[in-house]
Amino acid sequence: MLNIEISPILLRFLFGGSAVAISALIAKNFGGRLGGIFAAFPAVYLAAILGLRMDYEGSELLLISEQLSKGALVGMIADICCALAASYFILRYGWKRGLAYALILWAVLAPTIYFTWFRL
Amino acid sequence: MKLNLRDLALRFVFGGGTVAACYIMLQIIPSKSFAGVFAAFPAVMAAAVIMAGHFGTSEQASDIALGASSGMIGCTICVLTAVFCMEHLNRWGLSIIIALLIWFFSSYSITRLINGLLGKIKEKRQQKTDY
Repeated sequence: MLNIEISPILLRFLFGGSAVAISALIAKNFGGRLGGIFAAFPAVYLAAILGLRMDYEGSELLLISEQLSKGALVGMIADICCALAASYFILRYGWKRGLAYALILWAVLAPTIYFTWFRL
Repeated sequence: MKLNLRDLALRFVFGGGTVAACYIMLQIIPSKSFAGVFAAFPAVMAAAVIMAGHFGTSEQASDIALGASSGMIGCTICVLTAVFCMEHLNRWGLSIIIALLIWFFSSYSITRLINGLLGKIKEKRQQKTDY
């Protein structure tokens, strides 16, 4: 039986949400090109990596971070395809269906790339 | 860049939900690298597209998605650097700092490139509507 406590999940929810919100605020305050760069700050990835420090230390922290980063790398490649597809689908089907199709594409593409890359 | 409380709240929920989901996956799935895939869920892009689509037009939402792709290329380079540094330097903190520095400079270059491309697309759209 799975035994997952609620408080670490809540802590990570607050941590991740804050990281994304703060990067959006920084992006807004800087404005212009620098603001545009911070609008795409990898806050979710960074929050996930920094969150590992709560559970792991030393070489184990390094190993788990490296493994999580390899998975995130696959996810990021799928992200680029998802964003390009969203841009196309939104113009063709409207923003609701377009975004839904793009996210479905991500959900199919990310595991496909992962299993092709790491399991073959 | 317009940002209101609703936009911020949506980004907070999507970002926080993604990090929490990644943590749950880390606990459930034996493969830590597969759980890492969820750390890259395009939560921020989805939130930005929803806001643009809901309060603006589909064209604006499409432009935001295209613009997000440049940021995602920068993020991919950042994660690639983090993996490389963790493997070769064996230092957790230093690897993250180097990855963030590389992210900044790569994002700056890519954003300049994509902004130029977006400008050309908008010009073409404008020309079409003028005719």
